[in-house]
Amino acid sequence: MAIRVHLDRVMLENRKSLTQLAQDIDITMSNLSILKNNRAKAIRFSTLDALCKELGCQPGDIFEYIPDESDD
Amino acid sequence: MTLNLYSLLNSLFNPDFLGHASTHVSFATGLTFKIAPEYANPGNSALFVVLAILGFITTPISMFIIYQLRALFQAFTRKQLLMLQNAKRIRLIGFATVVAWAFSVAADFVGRSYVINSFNIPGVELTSTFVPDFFMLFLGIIVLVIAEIYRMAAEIREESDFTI
Repeated sequence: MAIRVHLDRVMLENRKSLTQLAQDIDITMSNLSILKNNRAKAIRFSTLDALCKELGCQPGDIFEYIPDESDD
Repeated sequence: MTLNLYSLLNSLFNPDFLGHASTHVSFATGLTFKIAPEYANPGNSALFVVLAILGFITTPISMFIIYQLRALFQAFTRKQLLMLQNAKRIRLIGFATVVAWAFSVAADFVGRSYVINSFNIPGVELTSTFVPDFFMLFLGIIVLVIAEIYRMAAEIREESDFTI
């Protein structure tokens, strides 16, 4: 996967647990876990908006693009 | 006229035929020929072995298709509808149908040759125009197309499930 999710790091910086964040942005804990563990295939803008609002960060703080070696 | 392979095998395994007393050949249309023993050749045993192998090989293929269908229905009853595993099973059924078609066409061809070589009746010339039945092949290809559509649907479902 070329996109790496750093949700755990941002959550740690904001001292938010998975359960608390899931409740705050109104999504299930299993879905948030899928996102945190980099297993998600896509993310809705509404979810991203809620995450950024709750964690006080930019999308770039949560996601990082890592080019694949095969792309060269 | 389509030769009924099972009737043919049944008549060849008949002790009357092996004892050269009399024999008969049945066709799918219900037409049966009784041949007097003096006009029956022992037949080509190599052809008979090939025919028997081809005839019996279709049985495990049919069982494989039934097993896959059973697994599919079990998945459906567990409400596991658009799964990649199901798409794989449907694709296997399609491949098995195409393979079964190839064996049945080969068995039909060998069976006709065997029957033609088995009888020697003065004044009667037995010929066979071999026209393969493509219905089962088309059926197999249609199943393969459905499997591909199913696979794409399963991928879309998976993507939708993992959209947060």
